[in-house]
Amino acid sequence: MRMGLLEKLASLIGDLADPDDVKRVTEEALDAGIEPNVIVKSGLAAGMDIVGKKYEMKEYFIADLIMAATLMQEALGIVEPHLKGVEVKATGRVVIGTVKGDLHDIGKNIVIAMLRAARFEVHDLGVDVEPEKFVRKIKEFQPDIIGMSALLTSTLPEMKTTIDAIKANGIRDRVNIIIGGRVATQDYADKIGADAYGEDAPKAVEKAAKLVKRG
Amino acid sequence: MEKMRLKQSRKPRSWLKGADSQMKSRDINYERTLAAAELKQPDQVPVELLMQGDFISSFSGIREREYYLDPGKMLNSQLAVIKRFCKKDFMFNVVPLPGPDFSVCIEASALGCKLRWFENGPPWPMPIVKVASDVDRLEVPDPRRDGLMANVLEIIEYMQQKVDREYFVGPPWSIGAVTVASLVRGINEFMVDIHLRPDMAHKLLRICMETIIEYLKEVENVVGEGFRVIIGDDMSGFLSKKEFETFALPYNKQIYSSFKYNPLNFFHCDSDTHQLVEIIPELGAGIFNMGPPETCGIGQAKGKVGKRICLMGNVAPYDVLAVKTPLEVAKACAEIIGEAGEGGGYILSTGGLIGRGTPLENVDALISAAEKYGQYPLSR
Repeated sequence: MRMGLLEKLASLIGDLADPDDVKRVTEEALDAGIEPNVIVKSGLAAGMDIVGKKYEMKEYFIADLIMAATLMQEALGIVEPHLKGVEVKATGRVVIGTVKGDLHDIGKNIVIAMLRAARFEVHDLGVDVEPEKFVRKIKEFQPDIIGMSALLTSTLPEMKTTIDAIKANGIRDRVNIIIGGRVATQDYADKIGADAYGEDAPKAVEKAAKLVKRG
Repeated sequence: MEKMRLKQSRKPRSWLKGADSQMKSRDINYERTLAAAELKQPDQVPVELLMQGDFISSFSGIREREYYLDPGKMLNSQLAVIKRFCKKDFMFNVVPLPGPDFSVCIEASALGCKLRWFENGPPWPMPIVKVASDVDRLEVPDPRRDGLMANVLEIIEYMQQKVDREYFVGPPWSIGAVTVASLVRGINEFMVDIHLRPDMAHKLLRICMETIIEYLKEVENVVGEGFRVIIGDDMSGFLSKKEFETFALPYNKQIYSSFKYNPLNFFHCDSDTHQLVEIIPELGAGIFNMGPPETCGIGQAKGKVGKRICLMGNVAPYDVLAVKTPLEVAKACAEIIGEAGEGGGYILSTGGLIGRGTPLENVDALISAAEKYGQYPLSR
């Protein structure tokens, strides 16, 4: 019964099913007494793994990742209230945002859904995020990772400005920095002293996990 | 929007007749581009420089906001770019310079989206369709009155007067149906609509398509001979083949078919197209400007559709043109010409816009690579 519900949930997300079905099965899993953290790991995260693999196999495309992220958020909205007070060790803590002057958040939102599926604790700062806000949130949340996204060549330099602000505040050695977005490249990540470049959402999550392991 | 510093004027444009035929007699790149667009083999691979406000304003040392809001500065910076990179007999671009440029905002602004302006970045439209019933309230705008469309038409006339016959002032980029719908609705929301609310998505796409067609009819009137349909629909690359066939193809196809066929009709998508490339020729454009190699290998595209549509692009604007040395740029261009140039039907260009900060010598290297590696018959 337990496994049946969890497999069903994973498969519904993996198949990009109707959100009402995803919500119903999530509630059934809670009603069946399955621990909420198990629902996240073996249901939702397993479903996002299927989505990630299908994307890598070029069976799914960006619109499918957006849909999967939406399903994930819907289900998490049901499970999260039940996680309060439950001791769950997160994979790591991430503070993420689109840099100053840039309003694009498609890639960032997909990365967030996949990070949450991989049991990262994620603090989303939204779009058009000032470097000073990244600095404040590092101090506030003590994250393992800072994620920055940019779509425009005009806003790309804000990644360097943000890293410089983090350095100027003497907290660069406290965090790993991952950059991503359409105009970001590995070369640019190296040039500005980021720790990693996420070429797509699944890769960004994979690299985030490696960086947390590395410490 | 801020009031534009622009004097409105109407003058007969009979002198524009034959603008492209004048060019034909004087511009080598036009002849080569036209031959490639007609899937013929020119004497040399043609070149296209894809640039907008991002690169052009930084080249001219002005803030991007000034570029968009002052047609005089827009024109002067575009002319400065042309003078820097183009020779007198080698200045033809399928996406014409000079021409009005408002990034992706023209259609969405006319549909009612408010624009957010940045000091040194392109403007961006804020979505207005929050719920399904909002779509019913949308109306096809009047291009002579609504949003930036009215400005575009005025700017074309202004530029025509300023440059007289020296340059062909062309139609600006139009945004394709899927991207306009995504901007008006919100990108995430529209992609979810496609999965969950297909009827609403179709209704919105229909309005966007009619908006684009009505607008382009007015642009055609102002531009005159030489008009071509130039569409960028990046968000359509977010779709699977089946979704593209359902949500992108019919609407964009109708846009192209609403105008007289021109082999220079242009379709751009620099998102993933490896899944779509086989059906791109069905759109009715003569030229497909594809993205960098990770979105679709040009060898794959050439093999699948090289006999049905002219391919343009595939040089990575960020991974190659912006960061490599001129020698490395030349090598990348040589490889792409080797994969796509055989038999003609290929235009050397970037897979997306040339970005700000791109070294000028790398743009020179791209232009030179066509001459060095693109002479027909191609050497193996």
